[in-house]
Amino acid sequence: MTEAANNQGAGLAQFVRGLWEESPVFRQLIGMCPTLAVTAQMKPALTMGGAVIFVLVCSNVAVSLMRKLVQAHQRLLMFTLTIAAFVTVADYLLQAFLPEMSEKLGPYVPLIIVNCIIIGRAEACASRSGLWVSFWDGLGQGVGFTLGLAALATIREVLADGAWFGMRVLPAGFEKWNVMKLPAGAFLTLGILLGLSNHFLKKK
Amino acid sequence: MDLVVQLLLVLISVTVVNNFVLTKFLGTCPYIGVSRQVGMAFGMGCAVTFVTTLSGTMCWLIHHEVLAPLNMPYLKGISFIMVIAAMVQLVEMYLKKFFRALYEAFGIYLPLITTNCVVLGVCLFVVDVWKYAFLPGVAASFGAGLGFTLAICIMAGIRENLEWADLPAALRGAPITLITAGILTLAFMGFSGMIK
Amino acid sequence: MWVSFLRQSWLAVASSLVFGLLVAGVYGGLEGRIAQNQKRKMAAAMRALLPAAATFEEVRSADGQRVEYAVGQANGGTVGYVIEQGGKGFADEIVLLIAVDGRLERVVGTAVLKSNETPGFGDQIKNAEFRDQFTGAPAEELAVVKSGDRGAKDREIVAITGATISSDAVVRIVNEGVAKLKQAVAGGSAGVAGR
Repeated sequence: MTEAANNQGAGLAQFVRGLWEESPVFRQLIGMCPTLAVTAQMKPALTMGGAVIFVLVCSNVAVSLMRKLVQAHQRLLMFTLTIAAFVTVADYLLQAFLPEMSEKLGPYVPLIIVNCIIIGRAEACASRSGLWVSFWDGLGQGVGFTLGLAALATIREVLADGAWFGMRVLPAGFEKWNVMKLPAGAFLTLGILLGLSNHFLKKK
Repeated sequence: MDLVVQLLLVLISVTVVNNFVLTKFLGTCPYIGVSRQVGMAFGMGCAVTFVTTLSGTMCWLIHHEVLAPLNMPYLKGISFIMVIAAMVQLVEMYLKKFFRALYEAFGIYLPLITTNCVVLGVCLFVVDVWKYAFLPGVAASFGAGLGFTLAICIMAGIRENLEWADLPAALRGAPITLITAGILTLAFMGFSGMIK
Repeated sequence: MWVSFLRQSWLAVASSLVFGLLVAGVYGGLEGRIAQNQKRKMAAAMRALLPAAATFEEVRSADGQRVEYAVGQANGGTVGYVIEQGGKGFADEIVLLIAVDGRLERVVGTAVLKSNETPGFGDQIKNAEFRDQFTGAPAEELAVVKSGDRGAKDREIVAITGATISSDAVVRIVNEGVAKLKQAVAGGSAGVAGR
């Protein structure tokens, strides 16, 4: 009973860590490809976040279950295989149930396979931790990643469309910042956000 | 002659106009991580180009000769990444045997090419989005690697100079690199519409 | 040697099988739904262009492989035709859905199915301001002009400022689509499949 409680404690701590302290977007700086590609608007950003959470949790759990059986030199191969399978499942789920989002995200969904976050967590956490901790770690990192995407998408959508989630937020007279819709805007926004977060964390 | 022109156009299109790093955001992780020195960046670029060309070709073949005829499109993701992992292994073994110094210099970044979005990206784009025939597909794969090399070398050159600039502490490292990338992307937009 | 090979690879082989089955299963289960989504999207787009049509019938090519165009019908009469046509735009491919009236005299409307043009510039081909020029335009060779009256329903299409190539591409695709449609309808249907 105590061990289970301990596990729960450890798991929750892991979850919280993924939200800020070890935030994939702002602290670890990994998984940047989708971060820049899908954050022109909130809806695709959150859909991508959801897909990543699904794959992260499933793959972390699967890897954790397999961890005693995998041999050292096959690690990467096994992780990649597992992740690829779950990403394919996620891709088809999206195509079936959220077709417009699936179209908007396009080839970036299968590209979750090479998202450094997932393989990174498999290596750093799931392959050496129990089921529960791995599960919570996957969830935490996934939610942290989604929060990062949401932050970027909010800025970009508000400035580029004057809207949030497709709903008008700024007055019609606002001159839209077209650059925010372009790849350039994504790079610039993330760079400035990172600079700001560095600055404020340094103060601590 | 017509084919050569077409191949050249595909090459220019993928390398410059639709650069994988600057317009599709792929390969951003190593782009930010490995672009400190031009020498290293160029080496990485060459390795990536080698892998993309090989993988692009192999994936095209697997898709058209195996998956499509057998109607198993769902195995695309898994088989593509396995092929890429195998190609990277091959490159690793080759370098270890014949270019030991280079192998040592790369260190961990060599196996990391497997997770480089450009490689899987070009395989998926050639097969799914652009639906190129075989030779244009090979040209595109080569072009993707070339474009990556171009972007990463330019970035490395800029960063080498940035070392001497007086940046606020918060901006040093990743933030200024991303901002530079943004400006570079804007510059590369000038190439749009070059191919009519 | 065999034993060592087996010991090394059994996990990879076993999990490949398991994952392969998982993925195949998910695909098999969802395949129908995905195809339905595609069909529904196309039907919705066609209905938006030809609201007067009650049903659409697909006309296939001689080998039955491709859908050449669709005939919109209501009350036993032909309301119009719809054809899908793609072509190279400024950035990437542009795919349009073009609706022409039953007598092949006027274009009823256009819809952009797929495009990746520059936001703020070429992207404006999706805006009503540009697309409305095609509604009611004659079903003949249309031409792009730099300036003019957007409201006039003639053969001149006013380009989007700063997006000449995208505008050119759309007009070219519409011309190609209309020409192909006229040819196909005149050539007689090779086979008609109900929708």
